[in-house]
Amino acid sequence: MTFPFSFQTLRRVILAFTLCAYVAVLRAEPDDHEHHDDHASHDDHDDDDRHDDHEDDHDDHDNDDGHDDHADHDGHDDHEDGPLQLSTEIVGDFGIEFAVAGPGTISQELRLLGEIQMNSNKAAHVSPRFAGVAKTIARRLGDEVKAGEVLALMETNDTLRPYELTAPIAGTIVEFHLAQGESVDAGDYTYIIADTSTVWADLRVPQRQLPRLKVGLDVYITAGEEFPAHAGKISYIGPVIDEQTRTGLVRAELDNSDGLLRPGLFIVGNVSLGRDTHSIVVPLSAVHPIDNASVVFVEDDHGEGFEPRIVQLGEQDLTQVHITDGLSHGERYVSVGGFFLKAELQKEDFGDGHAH
Amino acid sequence: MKRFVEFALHSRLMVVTLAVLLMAAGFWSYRQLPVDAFPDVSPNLVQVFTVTEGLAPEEIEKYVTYPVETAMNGLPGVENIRSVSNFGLSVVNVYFEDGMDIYFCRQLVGERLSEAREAIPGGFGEPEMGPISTGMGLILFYYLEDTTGQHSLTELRSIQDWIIKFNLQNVPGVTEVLGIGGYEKQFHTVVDPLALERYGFTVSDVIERIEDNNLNVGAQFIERNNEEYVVRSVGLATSVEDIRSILMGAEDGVPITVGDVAEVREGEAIRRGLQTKNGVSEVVSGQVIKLFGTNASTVIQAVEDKIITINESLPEGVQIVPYYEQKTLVAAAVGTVTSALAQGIGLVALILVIFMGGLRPTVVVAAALPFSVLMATLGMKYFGISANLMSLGGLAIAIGMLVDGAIVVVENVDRHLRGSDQSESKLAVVTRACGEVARPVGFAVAIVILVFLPLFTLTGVEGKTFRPLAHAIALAMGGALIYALMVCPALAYFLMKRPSAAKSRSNEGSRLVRWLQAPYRPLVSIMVRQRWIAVVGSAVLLGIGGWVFPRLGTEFTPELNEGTVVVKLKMAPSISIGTSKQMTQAIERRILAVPEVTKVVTRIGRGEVGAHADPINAAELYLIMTPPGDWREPFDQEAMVEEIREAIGTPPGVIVNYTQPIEMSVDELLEGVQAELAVKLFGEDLDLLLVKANEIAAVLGEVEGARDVQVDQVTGSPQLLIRIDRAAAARYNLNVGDIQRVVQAGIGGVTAGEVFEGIRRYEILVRYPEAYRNTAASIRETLIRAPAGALVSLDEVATVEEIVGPRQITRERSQRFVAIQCNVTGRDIGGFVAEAETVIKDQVELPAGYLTFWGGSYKLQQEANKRFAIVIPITLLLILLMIYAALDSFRNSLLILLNIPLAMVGGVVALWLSGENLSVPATVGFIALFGIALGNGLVLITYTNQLVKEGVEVGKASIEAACRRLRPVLMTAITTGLGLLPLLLANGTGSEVQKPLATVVTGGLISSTLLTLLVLPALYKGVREDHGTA
Repeated sequence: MTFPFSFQTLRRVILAFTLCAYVAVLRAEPDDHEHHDDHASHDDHDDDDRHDDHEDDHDDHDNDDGHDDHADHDGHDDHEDGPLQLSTEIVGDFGIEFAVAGPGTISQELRLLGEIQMNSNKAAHVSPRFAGVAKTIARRLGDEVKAGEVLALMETNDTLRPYELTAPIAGTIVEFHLAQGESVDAGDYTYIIADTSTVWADLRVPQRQLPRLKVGLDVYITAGEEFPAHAGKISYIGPVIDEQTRTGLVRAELDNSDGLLRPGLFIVGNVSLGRDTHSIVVPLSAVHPIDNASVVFVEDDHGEGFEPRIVQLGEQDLTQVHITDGLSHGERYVSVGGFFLKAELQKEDFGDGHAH
Repeated sequence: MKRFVEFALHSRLMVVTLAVLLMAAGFWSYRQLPVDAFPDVSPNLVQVFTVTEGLAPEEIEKYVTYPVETAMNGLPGVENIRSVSNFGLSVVNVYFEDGMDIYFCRQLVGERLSEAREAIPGGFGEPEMGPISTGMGLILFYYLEDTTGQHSLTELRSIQDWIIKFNLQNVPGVTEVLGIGGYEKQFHTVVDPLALERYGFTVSDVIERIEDNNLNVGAQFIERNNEEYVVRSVGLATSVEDIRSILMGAEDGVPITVGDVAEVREGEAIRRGLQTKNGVSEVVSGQVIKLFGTNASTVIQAVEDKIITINESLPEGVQIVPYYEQKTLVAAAVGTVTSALAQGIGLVALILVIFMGGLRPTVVVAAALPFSVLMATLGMKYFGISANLMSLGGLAIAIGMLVDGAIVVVENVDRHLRGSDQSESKLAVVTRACGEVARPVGFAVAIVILVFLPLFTLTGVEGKTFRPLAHAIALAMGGALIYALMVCPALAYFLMKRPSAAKSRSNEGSRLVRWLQAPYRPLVSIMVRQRWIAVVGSAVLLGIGGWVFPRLGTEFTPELNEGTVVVKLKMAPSISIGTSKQMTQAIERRILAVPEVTKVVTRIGRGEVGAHADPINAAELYLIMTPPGDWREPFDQEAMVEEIREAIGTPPGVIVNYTQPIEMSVDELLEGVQAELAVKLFGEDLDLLLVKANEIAAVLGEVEGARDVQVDQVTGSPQLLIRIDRAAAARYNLNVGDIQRVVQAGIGGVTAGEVFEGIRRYEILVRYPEAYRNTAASIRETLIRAPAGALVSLDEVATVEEIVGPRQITRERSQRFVAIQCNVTGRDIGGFVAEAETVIKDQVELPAGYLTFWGGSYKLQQEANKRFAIVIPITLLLILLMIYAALDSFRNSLLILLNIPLAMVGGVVALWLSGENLSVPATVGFIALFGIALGNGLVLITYTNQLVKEGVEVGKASIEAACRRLRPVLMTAITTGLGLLPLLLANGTGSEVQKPLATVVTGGLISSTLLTLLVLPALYKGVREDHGTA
């Protein structure tokens, strides 16, 4: 009986089998890219889904295809091409608010520090005209006096004749340097009488801000929560700048009928520099920085969703900003909570390459 | 080989005693073995964390990360250094070569850390090493439940930090307990900048004053009446009132205190993470981290016991509630395998009884199982391999194979005892019988061990996953080898009886065997006569295999099902912590709509540094569900994830992923090695890097086969950049430092010492009130006092810009980089890389100091392939050599190699039929299969050769040998197959890895047994006839 094929053939067959075995082992080795391709091409691997999820995880760290897959799972295709959607659920959950573009007023303010000073225009120094001794003291520190009222009775040293110290103006005695029997020289300060029904708010202004200030601007003076705010107007702008502090002086005369503004009080003055009305003003919360541009999320024409719109910003105050370009009157935009749209927009970017 | 047998039988009593001792040692080792759920695949790394509150990524990188990295350069065994500079946190990962001792690595890093500390400017944080643990170290998470509702989050956090943490850290095997959630208590000194102005102080004065008025000192002792009195002076601030009354200065005798310029109160520390529960509340929580190398299950048990004790000491109504425990997983994984192991042993024993037809030989064979398994555990203990899904799985797989050697030996002894002359001593018969098969059995078992050789060369994650399995199998097979050659003959001598003469002739084996032999003998005779049937048959089988093979799906390792679902959220990098919480809680509420989910506990960002470096835009939601048994029918984990996916929907700006706890933490440590193909562009300037990376991406996209080209987004965090105008500062005679100090303390806050309440210590934070620092406008107006007394607002001396900065800076090999990721389809990656490299060189101009580096998983894969290309042929050559050594015939050896493709056919078809993919475990199955198939062939051919040598005609010898060896061949095949059956049918945790393996082996066994029994005898004759007798 003869062998049906030669030994040569048998050897070849064995060789082929063995090769086959190598290939199998090689192919089955950690060959996950094969899998990626594979799994991308058949998305209908139902029983494989659990596994896909995990692959997605790996992918999300490093490349984006896992993420795409994920979007597919959600039945949510490439949203970056269409308008951004906001479901009512989201709007409720995250307090998203909308507004319609329209005019508004931007008010510019400047905060200055300073202190309350006596109104020097309404203060008087009382000095004895002759050197002498105080015989009787009629009025003392804190007393209210009328113009011409006798403050103290003096006696001159030279002639020993009595004379009176009288109040030159009506006001309050704010300083008092005289004691019974004290000998004073002519020209010594004995009383300072001030009319504190008005005081000066002296505010220091950094040199840079000086050009913006004009006499007549409104000033609101506060001295902490405990004090009521006082309103006044800039009445004086100092002609020189302090060499030490490089600040100028701005003064407002304030009504002090309630007597709360005592000289020496540390105050903050807010100067209103002006109020400008613009055709399009939006709250600052509506503007988002994206890639070094300012973006407002505006509803598209069909009301189907929102699109990011690059806008140009004009002047702004603490809460609002003037939009000079990019937003037209009557357009509906997201005024609060646009962050979620921004995040959705950038989702593609932050999904990958993110390490912990 | 024979000599082993002779020696064993000679000193049979000693051998048996030694075997019992070894088994006892094995059992002891088994009790000592650390038990884990899965093999630990974490890379060998030491993490260095540095917290610098309030610093932007750029500064962290410059001041902290760079010095640490530089210090770590040049350490022995360092494979790579990767760093992430985040807002307020620097993490440097120092990757060491696998296999280096972790304590040695830590010591190396520790030594260099002192260098790094010196290089980091004062006040920029202290670099510290992470816990001595791995990705598998997070064994238990808990939160504090306050049923009374009386305790604030700050109080609960204090309980966590000062009661629970300390107690749990004392549990042996716990290396760290990290707190997160709630608020850390702080003493806030909220300085009113206007009040400072009023009195002419600066914020630095306040800090200095507080620091100077808060200390205890010792002043040695005095002697009085022969006694020593220790002198101490106590001046520590212990309360808000103490801080308030610290003197700032006096004006005209009027003291001005801290209370005059600042509001002092107990407050909450700034936090970079929090923990929420069920979408409604915040909770305080902790994570228990296990020490490297300790036994997970014992540590968890000890922690649980301790928790019970601690719970008793906690304030009324406050309880520790664990919400994630690795224990369940460990138990499940080990349970899956051990039950498979037990069932396997039972089934194998059953088969033995049926085939051997007697209890005594069965006992001798079955004793191989405990012996080999215990030998394996002894070895595992010695080599430091933990008992886990893979190593125990290896044992489960090996069950059937372990008895193979013993079966052949016992079967032969049995046959010889029956056929022997009564005059021959029992010892001589047993010696002859054992000696006859010693050689083929020895070689067969050795081959099985040998085929696992390539597995040991696997590296990385696959290596760490499958090496324990290979180790366990090799060790167990080693045990089986010893058993078959030494213990088995001795035991056989003691236990097996010579049947009575009358019975012995007529009865060879059990009735079943005779029943099987009846149809087999004519069948094999036909095959031997009509060889073409055998040839055509195997060709057809091969054809089927060839047809099926390309139709198999391929995948990497199937995912291990941990039984806990974690939903991972990634939100915009710039998100605020409040919004992050709001978003997470909204999603938590949605998930709770799934009826099976009873609780959702979420960690946002990071707590105490050590385990996570997540920024606040990352959230991990742990879902606590009802037991799977109570789920709606028909419902499994996949369906559950689908359900959760639907419930979550598409929240805006959130990327949702589904993962599992261990998988997640291991992924975090492995980060960066998983991309298929990545071009890393290294360089200095982030902006330039980005520009060039985009250019490269554009070029890369043009190369044929490129898909999903993507540049890493490295920017995206809005910043308020305060740039000091030096000229302006000089005009006011201000130092940059003067300005910076106000910015740092006023806007950011500065710690000015600590308040001690017993051993609890709380920081004193000095900061401006919120209104003075919460908008760009108010920051611009921050006041700075110039030396001359001038009050300057910040924008007088600095520009304040809003820019978009890097969200974090990642570095590798001490350089910044931007990665360009890409997938390749339809062509070979090597070729793609070569082409892309030249194209990029031609078209993208890179400035000096900028260079590209190709990386990604393809690299590892190429390395693996290269290694396999060497190792597999070597292995096959070794096997061939062994077979050759056993048979002394090259042709016969080749004939046995024929087993490989035929065995493969069965495996491939089985995979295809069961819908499994060709994965790493399946490959491992093929490897095991080859070993078994070769072994079977070897046993048969050896016996045939023996008969031929005895002068039997070749054709007759083939038939006779086949018939005689039918019993052992069938038995080994069936025991192996049945040993795997429980794994094949298992559904528990970890079964997804074992299943493909078992499928391949079972399928392959069928085809290879057919081959061994039908084709080999046929071809044997052909080989002999054509080329004469050997």
